[in-house]
Amino acid sequence: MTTPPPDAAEAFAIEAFQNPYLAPGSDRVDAIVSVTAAGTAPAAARPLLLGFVIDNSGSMHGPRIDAVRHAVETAIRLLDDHAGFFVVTFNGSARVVVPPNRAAEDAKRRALTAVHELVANDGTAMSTGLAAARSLFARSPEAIGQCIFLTDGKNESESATEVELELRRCAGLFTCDCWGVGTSWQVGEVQEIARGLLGKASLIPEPEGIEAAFREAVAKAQAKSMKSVRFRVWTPASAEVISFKQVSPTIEEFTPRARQVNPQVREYDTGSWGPGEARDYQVALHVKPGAVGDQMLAARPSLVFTGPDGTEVEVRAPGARVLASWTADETLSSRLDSTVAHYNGQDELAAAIQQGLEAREQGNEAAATTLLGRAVQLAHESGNADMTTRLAKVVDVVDPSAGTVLLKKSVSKAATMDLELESTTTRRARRPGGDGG
Amino acid sequence: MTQPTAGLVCPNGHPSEESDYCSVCGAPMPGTAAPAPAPAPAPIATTATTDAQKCPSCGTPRADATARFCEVCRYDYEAQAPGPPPVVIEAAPPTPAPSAPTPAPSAPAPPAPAPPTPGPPTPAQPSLEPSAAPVPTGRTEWEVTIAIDATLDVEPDPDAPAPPDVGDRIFPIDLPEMLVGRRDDAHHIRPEIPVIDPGVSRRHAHFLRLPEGRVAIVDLASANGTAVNGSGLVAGQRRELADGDVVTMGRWTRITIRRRGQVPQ
Repeated sequence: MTTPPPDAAEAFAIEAFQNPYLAPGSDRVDAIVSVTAAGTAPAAARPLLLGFVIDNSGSMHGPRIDAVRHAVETAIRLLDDHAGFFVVTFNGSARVVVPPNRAAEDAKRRALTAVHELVANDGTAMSTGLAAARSLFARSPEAIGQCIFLTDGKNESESATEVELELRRCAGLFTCDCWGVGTSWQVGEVQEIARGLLGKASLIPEPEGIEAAFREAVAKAQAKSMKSVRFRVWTPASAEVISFKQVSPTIEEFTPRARQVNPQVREYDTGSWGPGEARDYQVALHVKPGAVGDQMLAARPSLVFTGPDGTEVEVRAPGARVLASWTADETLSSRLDSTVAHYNGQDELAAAIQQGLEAREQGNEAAATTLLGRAVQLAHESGNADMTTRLAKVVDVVDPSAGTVLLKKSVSKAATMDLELESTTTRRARRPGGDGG
Repeated sequence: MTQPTAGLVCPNGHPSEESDYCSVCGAPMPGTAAPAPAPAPAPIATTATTDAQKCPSCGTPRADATARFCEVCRYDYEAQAPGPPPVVIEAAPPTPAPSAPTPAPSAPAPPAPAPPTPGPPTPAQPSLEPSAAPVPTGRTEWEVTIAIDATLDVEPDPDAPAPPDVGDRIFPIDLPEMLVGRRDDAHHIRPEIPVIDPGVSRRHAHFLRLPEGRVAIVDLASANGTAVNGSGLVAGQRRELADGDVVTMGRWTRITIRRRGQVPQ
């Protein structure tokens, strides 16, 4: 590749998708804003600091801790020598097993020895592991802080509030992807950590899967080149942001995380990005209705980040405008933009799965059948094949286009947990004339 | 295309820093074309800012090398003087220091008696015309701002300090009844307005939307109670709220009620 690294100001392409035409009196504008990072990293990308935060409570004893030792060793070997890393374990309390180091040969060797001696015992207090990681990440504010968090059980040695508080302390310092091994852990608990730190929670059914998950995580972490990228939304003085969500690759509610920069500008932290990475966002706005024929700019999206030299860069695109234009022509105003419609469908799909699984758990088979049937139908219509496969482990699909399903008599707990965890993973909207996502 | 602009005025009379759509009201500037139903992807143009182009008044990066006014405080780069209609910046807290909890700017001893209701509170509105159209009707007339105020914590626990204030969270009161409380996934309690505070009950209080655009709060017999402008609520008794009222609960939670931003015409 001889492509020169782009200017920091060309780091992102931004596109908006919407139907700007509104019926008279209409006061709501919906749009999808699609963001793609440039294919090559900006010159002088930031260094990576990768933290392993590993549960070594009693339940990890045996094949699990063996598999973790092996997986962490593999992951450390894969690190480029300019990356930094550390290893923290937690049970009832946290221990720094390997302090932050550059991944040079001798440091890797010392780390492998320390990791090899990991043992598992005692309870589980997840906030202690996060707190230890926080203090280590805080020493390297310039680095892209990425955490790999692994557990296998319930957070039983502390109250849930401890984790909530610790997440507030950690936010902005690092991002964190989480894995649960086996099926004795709580989806909600682990998801909360991942969501609070702009990451994703996933299931590893058997210990043998840990190594592959960590390999992938290291590759993903080493690809990151920008940290603390903020999505900025400017609105006119008369408009309000009703909601702001990430909708691809996963659905994440960002509305309550808004930071109000000034009365017309809000920002949302999106974490770190790697070259070529693409994410879609859904913005809903409340505007003051105009007269027929009036047109206004309802929002101007842009991305803001701190460049390698410490200056703040705002990336804008003239095509990325969210507009409102009032018309009496119903054929114009009634049209639903296909990208907006696609993500409305993915949103409904996630809700149908979550509510369907909850109904099934409560023994309400009729509701579960209807909801999971609707989910199968939506997954089928939107071409979300991965979701169709996951749903088929929980229900027998009779007719996907009509949404006719039968609940399976016996379902593995792992399949249910996996479906719940992945329910918010969307299929990316097809670009008009572009790829298929 | 956005061209660098100076001294542009939009059809509604606002000074605009943007040449395509007004940077105050969003109205198209003269010469801006109507939208196409399916806007074609356009090539990226960018605006970079450097240290040299920060607003001398508030430090905000200059929107554009030749933008006349600061996007935030309306500082006039050409006249090198504070710009026309003042827009008050809502102080956004800086990125938190990881360990030290941020002390609140002023330190009222709790219960903090907030100023009595009348008179427009903090968010200063740029020159309101009395004849201006009424506030946008409907669903999002009120909003609450949740803040962490470590000075409310009367018995700070050194092992569990208030988390750093990472900025206010804002929720519109857009449902007839909205629960404020501590989230508890294990018990399927997911408040519409989740608060992170060990002193707040899971089901702590409801915000209620009343007829005629009024709003009230009711304490749901919470363990540690709720106060409005420093005076405690009787559990179960509804208390109507006014613009600027301050609700405190738990160890460090401060909730400010606001009527949503009115529009400078």
